[in-house]
Amino acid sequence: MRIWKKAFGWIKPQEKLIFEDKNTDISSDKQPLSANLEINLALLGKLMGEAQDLIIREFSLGHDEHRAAVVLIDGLAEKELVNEQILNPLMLEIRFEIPRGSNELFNRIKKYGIPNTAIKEDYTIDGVINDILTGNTVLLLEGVDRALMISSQGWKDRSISEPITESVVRGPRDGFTETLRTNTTLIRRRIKSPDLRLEGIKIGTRTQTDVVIAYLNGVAKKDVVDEVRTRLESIKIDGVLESGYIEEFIEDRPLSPFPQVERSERPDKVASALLEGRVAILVDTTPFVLMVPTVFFQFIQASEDYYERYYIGSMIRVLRVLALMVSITLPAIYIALTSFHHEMIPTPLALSIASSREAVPFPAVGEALIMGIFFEILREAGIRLPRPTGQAVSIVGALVIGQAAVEAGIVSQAMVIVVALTGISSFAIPAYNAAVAGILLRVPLVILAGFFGLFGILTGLSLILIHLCGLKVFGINYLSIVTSAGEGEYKDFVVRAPWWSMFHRAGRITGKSKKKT
Amino acid sequence: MKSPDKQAVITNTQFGALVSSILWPTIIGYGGGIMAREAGRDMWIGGILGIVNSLILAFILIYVGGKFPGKTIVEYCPKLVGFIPGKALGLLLCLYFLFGAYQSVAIYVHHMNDFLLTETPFAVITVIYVLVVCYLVWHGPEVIARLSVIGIAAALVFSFLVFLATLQEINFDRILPLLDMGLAPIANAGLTATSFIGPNILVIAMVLPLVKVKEKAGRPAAAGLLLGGILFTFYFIAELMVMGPHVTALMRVACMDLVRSLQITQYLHRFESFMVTLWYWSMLVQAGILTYCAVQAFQQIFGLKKINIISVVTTGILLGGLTYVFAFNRTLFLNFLEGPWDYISLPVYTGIPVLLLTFCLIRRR
Repeated sequence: MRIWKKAFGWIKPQEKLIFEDKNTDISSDKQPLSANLEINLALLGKLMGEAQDLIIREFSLGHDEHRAAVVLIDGLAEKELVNEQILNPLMLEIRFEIPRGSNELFNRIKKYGIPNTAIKEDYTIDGVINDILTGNTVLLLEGVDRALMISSQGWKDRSISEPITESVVRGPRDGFTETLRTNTTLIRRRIKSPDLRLEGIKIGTRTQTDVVIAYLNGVAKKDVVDEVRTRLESIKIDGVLESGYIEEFIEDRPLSPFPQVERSERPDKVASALLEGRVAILVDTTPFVLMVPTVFFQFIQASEDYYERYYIGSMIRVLRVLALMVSITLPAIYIALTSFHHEMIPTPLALSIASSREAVPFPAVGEALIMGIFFEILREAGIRLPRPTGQAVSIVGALVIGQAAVEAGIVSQAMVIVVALTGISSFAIPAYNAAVAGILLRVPLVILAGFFGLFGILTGLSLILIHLCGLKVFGINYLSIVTSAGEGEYKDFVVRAPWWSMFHRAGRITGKSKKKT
Repeated sequence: MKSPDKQAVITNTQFGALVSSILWPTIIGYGGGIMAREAGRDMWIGGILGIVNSLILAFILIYVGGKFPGKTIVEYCPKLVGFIPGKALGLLLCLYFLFGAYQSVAIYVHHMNDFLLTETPFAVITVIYVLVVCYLVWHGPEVIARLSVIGIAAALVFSFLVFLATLQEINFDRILPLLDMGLAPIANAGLTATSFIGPNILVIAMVLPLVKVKEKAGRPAAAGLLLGGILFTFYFIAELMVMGPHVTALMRVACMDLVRSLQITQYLHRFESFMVTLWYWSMLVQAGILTYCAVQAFQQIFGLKKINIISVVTTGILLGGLTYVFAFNRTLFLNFLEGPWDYISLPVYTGIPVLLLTFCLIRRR
């Protein structure tokens, strides 16, 4: 038998293309690579559906002795880099002696032939396709059942710019982009510590979206990091196009109107969260980075609070708390006072309100609902329209429609003021998702106030507070700063203490390393 | 995805806040008028007597509870006094807590229906409020304890505003001379004060197993009792100094009449609605924890561990029913609190702790 193999082993039977064999399921692409280049290329082409942007460049090394091919996706891979670092060194400037054996050649190419920082081998079609789809270039050789993946990602991406949704007066102007590596770099630039951990994971059976779990080892609680990893790994979805997909999967209470995951486009904010011991989740193709665990009062904090002097930062925070309360309760309080508890309003003001409501045919609750809905429509239209038009629509809508509605006797002047104040207050909340949660809570409170006055408001607020007191995010109580502030938490609540007196991180969130110094 | 459930834990600070926030709201509601009728201008001394009584009883409960770590009073009663008497005591405590919760609900509903929402049916307010209380109970003691921190903060603002508003009106002569009616009426007022806060003292024995550092539970309990006591005693003094003992004695809900007679500058000339808003949170915490204790006591008599939705709903129906049937008639409710309630409450809030302490000492636990 051995002699037979030695004598005739070079005569290999014609390999059958996998997809030509009806018994082979090509959708399950956990196939090992073949040593036959033609089969590998055909299989790749077939599995990629003969994609129009798939580039297969075949060439020969050393006087047609060895056939080879590079495979890449046009647009995802940087062609100049492929030419300079792969094709040029292999086709024109080969700097080693080409051996006869294909495997030996493969090893030499890997060792001497590709001047690239990141190369690796793979043995499966599945691995090859995944790499091609992430922008890498694959080198295949005739007679070798391995592939060399060469890093060549180089798609067009947005440059780093100031985040539109989180602009600040004082603070860094850079923002995350849609490219994961750029985003991790922005964090690395701020935290130059070997304790910064960036764990990669792919989510989405079809999109294979790269997700990175970032945390500071020793500063973040191990339980929280493990819980984040477990929750991310258990996500079953075919595609992740934005971090919002992941946010919904990892929330503790999906039915709660309150946002349970903080998000930001600002690298400084994420770096600050990591330094507090929180965990960041970066998702490829979106500039919005998620941060957990989150407590309620983080939504009224902005990164600028820490850049301005402490009393200015604290004063702005107090204003935001006031704005939050106004945005949720002002219309309900107005309705309760004008409909049920007139005695609380000073007499001249009560008379003024009564005279302005004289011609209005609707009850106060109806007025508030109508005006509130139109205000939100105006706001939404202002966001969706192109910026110059959007501003014009908002201003014209607010001024003209408001004035016309008052003159037509549909709403009272007092109600226009109340709704406008409520709307403006909601803009003062730095987190958009928290501001929208305010709208969701405002409407039931308005209805309850319309039916039961102060009793209705108290009932509504009780339900909200009970819900908040019971809400836990990654094991940490959502209202923890209010109901049981731990070490270091008092100093960074509504009022922020000066930097030189904040020695400790928030005890509830942080792992072993409690001290900031 | 939900965070893993853990055993409910109340921090020592929350425990203190819970004790203080449940101590003061009902006694200032109906207690002021009743105690003024009993002790006149010395009613505030009755309040202090009530605090002293409460402190002694609380320490007895913490001492006995410390001998049975992780167990509530209903759970360790059978171990101390025997199975059947212990279960009977558990049932008695369950009814006592239920009655305390009913009182709390009724007093709140009276405030709403008699002063702020006079045209809304009594039943509607009762049903809505009981639903809120049941929702709170369903969330468990941890949430109630957290809410109590907000409750006590609101209580402090309440007292500060009362202080501000009464500054112009106070007259020290109205509480002098001391011991005007002798010692017996003061003792009687002290008994009334303790009867009002009795169910709240026994709450300590029900939530003690949940306190984080049980060995140091005495300090927050004492601080809570003192703070709660100061809050209602201060209010009694304010009532006396502003309205005088005779006018206070004429009132059914003296606290409401006091805030209605006050103003903070000409712009806040009627701010009772705002004061009710601040008072409400302590009221809700009180109704919530008493109802929770009633539900928990009932379940522990039958060996059930986790809060059961059926128990909460049944207790809610009982609460609403009791309030509607017995509290709709305000005179009946007031007469009951002023008369028989002292004699019903005294054997429970004093008798049970003393009995358990005696058994504890006899059995050398």
